[in-house]
Order: sequence, then C-alpha cells, then structure tokens
Amino acid sequence: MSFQGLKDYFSRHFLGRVKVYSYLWTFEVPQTVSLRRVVETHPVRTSIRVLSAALLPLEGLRCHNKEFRFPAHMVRVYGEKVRSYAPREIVVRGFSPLRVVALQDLKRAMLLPLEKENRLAWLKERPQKTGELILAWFGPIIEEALVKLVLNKQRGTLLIWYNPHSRHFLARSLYLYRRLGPRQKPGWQWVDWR
Amino acid sequence: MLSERRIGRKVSQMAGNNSLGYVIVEGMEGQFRGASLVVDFRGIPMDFRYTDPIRPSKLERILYGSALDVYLREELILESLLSAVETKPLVWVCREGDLLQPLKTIGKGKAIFLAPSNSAPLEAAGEVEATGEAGIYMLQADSLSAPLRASLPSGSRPEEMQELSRILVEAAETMELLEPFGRIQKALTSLGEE
Repeated sequence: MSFQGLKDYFSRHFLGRVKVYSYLWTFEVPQTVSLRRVVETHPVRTSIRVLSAALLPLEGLRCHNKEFRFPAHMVRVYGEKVRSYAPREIVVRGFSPLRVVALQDLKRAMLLPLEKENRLAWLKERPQKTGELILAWFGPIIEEALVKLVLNKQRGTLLIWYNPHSRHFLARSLYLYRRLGPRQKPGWQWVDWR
Repeated sequence: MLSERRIGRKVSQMAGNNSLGYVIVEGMEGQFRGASLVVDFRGIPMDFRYTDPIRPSKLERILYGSALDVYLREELILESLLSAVETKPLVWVCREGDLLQPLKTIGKGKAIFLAPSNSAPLEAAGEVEATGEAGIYMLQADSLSAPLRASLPSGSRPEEMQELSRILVEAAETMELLEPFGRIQKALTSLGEE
C-alpha cells in the first residue's frame, strides 16, 4: 500500500472522510453538415468576340457613323446626319427568274381515247348463257355518246372516243364473249351497268 | 365548226358543271413539266392545259438550292396551270401526295389524292374505310374494281371525306376515276415528241 493509500485508510476510519473525485465529462458537439448544395455555374460558351463585319457594297457603307449603321428614324448621331439604308436587289447578269406559261390544247385532249380496263376479274355475277365464254368486261360506257371503239389486244383494254356534243349520260357495260364450238368468232354484247 | 373553247363550254353546260380536275406535275432527269385535264363525269375533256418543259440551268440550281424542286412544282407549274384553267372542277385530283396541300391552297376548292390499291373490295360502293396510316382512307368508288387509296389535305374534317366520297361515287357511275391520268400522260408524251 502506498503512502497515499495509507493516508486515505486512516482518514476514512478515524476522521470519516471519503475522498471525492471530480470528473469533468466533456461532450463533443456533433458536427453538422448542411444538406444544401452549392451550385457552381460555369459558362459553357466560349467568350464571344465581335469582329468588325466586312459589308458588301450594297449601299450599306454610305449610311454610317463610325462604322455603325443606324435606323432611318435616328436622323442625328453625334450631330451627323445618318442617311437611310435600304438593301437593293442584286442583279446577276445573264440570269432571269424562272417562268412558266400554261398553254391550252383541248383539241389534243379530245383526240385522245379513253382507255377502259377489263373488269371481268371483279365481276361477282356473270350472265349465264349456255355455250358462251365471257372474255372481257368493260364499263361504264355511255353507249349513246360513242363515236368509235377499238380493242387494244396487246393490253386487253378498250379504247373509246366519245362525241363531245352528246347529251347522254346513261352508262352501260359491254362484254366480249366467244361461243364455244369450232370456227366461232368473238362477239360483243351490251348490258346494263348495274 | 365549233371552236375548242365553245365545245368545252358546251360540254360544261350539259354536264351541269359536274367535273373533276386532274393534275400531273413531273420532274425527271432535271426537267420539269405539268398538265391539267378537267373532264365531265363521263370523262369527256372540258379543259386541257400544259406547260412547256423547264430545265433549270446550273446557275439556277445553285441559286434556288434545295427549294428549287418545290418552287418549280408548286409555285410555278401548279399555280400557272390552275390559274389558267377556265372550267373550275368540283374536285381537284392528284396522284402525288406532295401536290395535295398546294392543290387545295392554290385551287381554292376541294382536293383529293387518289391512287390504285391491291386491296380486296369493300362491301359496297361509297364505302370509306380508314387505314392504319394517318389520313389515308380506302374508298370503294364502284362495285367493279379494287378500292382506291384516298387522302385529304391536312386539317380536313372526316365529313369532308364523306362529301368527296359522294361526288366520286357519282362520277364513278359513268367513268373510271383514275383513267384521265393515263390520258394526261399520253398527251405529255405526244407533246414531248413534237
């Protein structure tokens, strides 16, 4: 036992004293960090330098004051009169704007035949005539207005010329058929369009 | 002997101005030209106009740039043709989708794009069916053909399709709706050969 321990022992037994220790508890204040973000802005664009523009000789150079052009209503800048500026049309020699003229030729259109296609493939109900084979079906054709009919055998179409003075509008169908049997020639038959 | 203009006027009177106008504008191998044909409901010509072929020079191609094609087709050829036509049709018909919008604007009337299809016929004539493609309809003009692909200018109401369908079905009673395009093509070919 050390001297300090012996002193504490006798002091407690004979004097009734107990040594009291003091303890200083230190509290560490937690560090707080702000959640707010700081936004740094950096310009993306590069710095712009304005260079003096080289003006084309379009009367622009005449209207100036210290190399700047001004609107017409600003009549005086630093005491100097600014003349109005208006761009003018550039004239390129040897070049004229594109032009088109519409010509009329009704006669040419009148001479061209109407070309009717064979509609047999779309026919749902064919006329039932025994011994007849339908080869082609054309329509609508204004029978009363007809001037000429020609079968285009290469294309299988019917060429039609109408009388332009005709007043008829009743449409009919015309079909090409062939009678079954030896030496039978093809024939034409008119029927109602509907 | 009646003059061409008088014949056209007479046909127009007899047809009660029931007419369809067809327009073709083509640009091939650097050459542009166009033609319009107005026919009555039987297909008889009432007005035929065409433009001489335009072949833009190298300088013009450079000056107009990418706008050349649209400028030639719409502003020069189409506008010249439509402004020259004396017999205004009930409906303007084109077979090039690009022409549809300017056709309505310049023609100041009804305009429709029509093209053939390989689809099966719809149930009855006059039936209109929307396709999967936006603004494209299938129109059964008559009972003896495949339905036609039809399209209206952007911004058109669905009722306009019904109205146009009624006009086209009435015309299809007495004529083939796409046939005049073939005649215009033949006329342009014959003009080119002269």
